[in-house]
Amino acid sequence: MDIHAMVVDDSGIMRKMVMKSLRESQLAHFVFTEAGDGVEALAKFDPKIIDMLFVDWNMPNMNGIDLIRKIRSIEKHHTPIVMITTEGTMGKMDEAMDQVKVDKYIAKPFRPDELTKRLGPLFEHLAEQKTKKKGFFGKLADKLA
Amino acid sequence: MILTDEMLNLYEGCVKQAATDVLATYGVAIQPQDDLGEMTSHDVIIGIISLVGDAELSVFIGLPRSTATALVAKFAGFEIPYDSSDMGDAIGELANMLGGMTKTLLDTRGIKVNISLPTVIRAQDIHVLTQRGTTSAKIGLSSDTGPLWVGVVAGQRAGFVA
Repeated sequence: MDIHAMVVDDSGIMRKMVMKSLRESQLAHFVFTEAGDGVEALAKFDPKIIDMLFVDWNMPNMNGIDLIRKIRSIEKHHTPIVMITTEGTMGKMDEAMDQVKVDKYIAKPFRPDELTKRLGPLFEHLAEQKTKKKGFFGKLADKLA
Repeated sequence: MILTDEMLNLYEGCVKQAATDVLATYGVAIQPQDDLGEMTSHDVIIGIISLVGDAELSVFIGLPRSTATALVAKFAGFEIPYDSSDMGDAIGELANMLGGMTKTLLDTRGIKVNISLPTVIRAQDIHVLTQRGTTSAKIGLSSDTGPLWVGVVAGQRAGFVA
């Protein structure tokens, strides 16, 4: 399965680490778009291209929660979002998951195998969604032909 | 509540535990080491993060050049040159995780704080000058990536022990 994921974190190293961990997880074949904060992410977000997002909570200019709130207000179909946060903000995560519909969250520090274990079910669901979508467009293409 | 030795010991214990937990995730085991000397004698990089709320704390992690290079390679999974901006980024993330884990540990003792964004300083011959009215503790640690320090500077607003 091909997944175009946007990784949003003000730390370039953390973005690289997330992308490396995802590639090693073999959950999918990934293509990545990177953004250094919520403002840049919003400018780059195209729901027709981006399948899912990995978003840090604490960022300058626009934090992760405000970014997700904005994405939820403009998207027509639900885009899966994984929040990546430090242990220190874990207490707020339940609230955030309800408020802005975060699909999963991962606490830093994390090991690549934790990423695979925690995100496995989400990717299975995403694969089903993509298959259905492909089926619909496939049928449409057949009719048009 | 005024800062007491008991509170400083509590903060010190939380920071040490946080460092142990964070670094263990990346396969780095640490042990206390008393005779590490001063950070000032090294080419050193320091990550600092503030925790403010029921207590006022600055938590830091300091690494000599060789430790920083070896530890960050384990942490990131790839080598990062000491003099690069990526090194600052990586140490900032370490400080962020150290602060976050310390916050969680303090929370279990009924002390609620929020964490700031981290600051990273790379320099030589650093002298840390604490402000009047603050108390600090510095812990020397040894690891398979080399020596390092973690520490805490505490203000007089000291929180409560649950």
